[in-house]
Amino acid sequence: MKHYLIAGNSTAGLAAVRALRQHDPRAKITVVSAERHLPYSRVLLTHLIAGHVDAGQLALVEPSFFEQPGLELLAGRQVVQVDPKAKTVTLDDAVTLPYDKLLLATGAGPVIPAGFSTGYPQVTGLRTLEDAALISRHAAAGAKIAVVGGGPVGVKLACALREAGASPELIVSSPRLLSRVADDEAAAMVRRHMSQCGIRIRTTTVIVHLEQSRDGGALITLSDGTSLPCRLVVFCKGVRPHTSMLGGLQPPGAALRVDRWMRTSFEDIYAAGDVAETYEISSRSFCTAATWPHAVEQGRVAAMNMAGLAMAYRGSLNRNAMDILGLPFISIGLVKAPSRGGYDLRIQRNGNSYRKLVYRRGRLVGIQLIGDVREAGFRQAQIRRAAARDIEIESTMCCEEEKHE
Amino acid sequence: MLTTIQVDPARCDGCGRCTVACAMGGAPAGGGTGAAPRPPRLWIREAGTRRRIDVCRHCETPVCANACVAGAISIDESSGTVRIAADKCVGCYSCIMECPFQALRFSGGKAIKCDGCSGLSSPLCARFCPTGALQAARSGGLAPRRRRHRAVIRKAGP
Repeated sequence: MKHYLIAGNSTAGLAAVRALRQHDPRAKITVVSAERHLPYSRVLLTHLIAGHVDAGQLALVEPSFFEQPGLELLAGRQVVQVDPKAKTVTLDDAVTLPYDKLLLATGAGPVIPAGFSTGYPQVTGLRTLEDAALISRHAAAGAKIAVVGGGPVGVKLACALREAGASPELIVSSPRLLSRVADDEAAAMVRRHMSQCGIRIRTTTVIVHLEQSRDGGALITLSDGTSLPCRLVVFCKGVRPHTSMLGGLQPPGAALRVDRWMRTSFEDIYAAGDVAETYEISSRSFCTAATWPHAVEQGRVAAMNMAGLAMAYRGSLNRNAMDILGLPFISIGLVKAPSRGGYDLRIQRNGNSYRKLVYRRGRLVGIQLIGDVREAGFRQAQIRRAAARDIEIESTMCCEEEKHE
Repeated sequence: MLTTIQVDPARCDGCGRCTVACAMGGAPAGGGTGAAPRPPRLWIREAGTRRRIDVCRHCETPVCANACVAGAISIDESSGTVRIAADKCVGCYSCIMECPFQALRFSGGKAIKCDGCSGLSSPLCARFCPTGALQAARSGGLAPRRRRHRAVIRKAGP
């Protein structure tokens, strides 16, 4: 009987548990979860703050889920060390567990700049239920809250705070919002819409100084010299993968690169979710695709391979969908075309809607939609089909080259 | 045995009876016809020179359900249909980003799609289609992979 060990009990870890139950129902599965809570939807945290859902709706499983025979949950515990040679892990309470196959689905934690990371109760990230509860508490009182970072999380949080009745102030270091998921024009449309909804946005701005004020709030000084009093500063400046359990085997802060079977470079160790670095088909490079659908798919594919079924991962495709205070936004694949390499653009604008398709040598590699987003799924399939054809052609070419040799 | 609807867009002349039938008679929870009109759950769309019928295929591993961050989309075990629990949907557009069949739309801030008319003996869109573009059929003879591509709606049968 195989013993599967799953480190991490969020989206990817849970998808893996479900797939393992399905494909190897008699195996023993141990799940190690750093959080005490049962798994919950992190993506819903901004919706919780906005008041779209209540805390009970965040649960991903019934409380009885982990009572199934053969399934053990070690909640509130962390894997602190992995020994790939001995095939054991050590937990934070010094217990050592052996495994046959290990899945690292430990996720990632928010990056808070060094100067502000400790000693400030007014500074937080947005990653856990506790973070969301803290933000909600202040939002309910209509407080001014500084959101640092103009990526999808920062934008969604600023919108949620507005809906909750708080006064969000979005502080972005780059000259525009959503610099990785939108082009200049789409970003400008999003910015205009958010500003009209009452969200103050400052671009090309960073926090240079943070001071605790006497009333328990914070007084931040921005790079343009402005002083800004606020109750809370939330950093949404990206995440760092949790790989410390690998010690010297992995450079700190680097994600675990996996092959198409979701295997890391260590034998019998797989990775999925925000901790994994996968092949991304539109950029044709390895990157972390830290979104929900990727985590679910990677967790499931990893589990199937752990169970001995050969299931290839079809590759990540960077994509984001958001409702920005009533303005639908979806972006898939490449958002900006490099100046060289045979790229073509097709752009349509119509009032509050925007549609941009990016082609590489006649094949679709990216799309952005604002307003009317209905065609998004079809276009995603088109991008994947085109990429699969390219890969096929490349591999046939390789084979032919080998033959010539 | 599952009862299915097969979609053949080439036969569709765009009359729109299916969408009217869907809007008028959709089976809300509990079943029964004669409910108040609601937005239809399937759509006829002109795509270039071709006509398409956007309707849920009720996939066996639905990409929309994988992508749903709120756990609002699931497979109904008794009928095999893919359902949206409207009270759970947070309107994030993730499902629309995933579905290659464009089978989902938004209505009132929530995602909507075909529910397979599970409360009825056969799906209304097929019953009212005069050209055979939508047909109720048995799915047993088709291989699963082919079934997915053939645009079918699965339904529990006797």
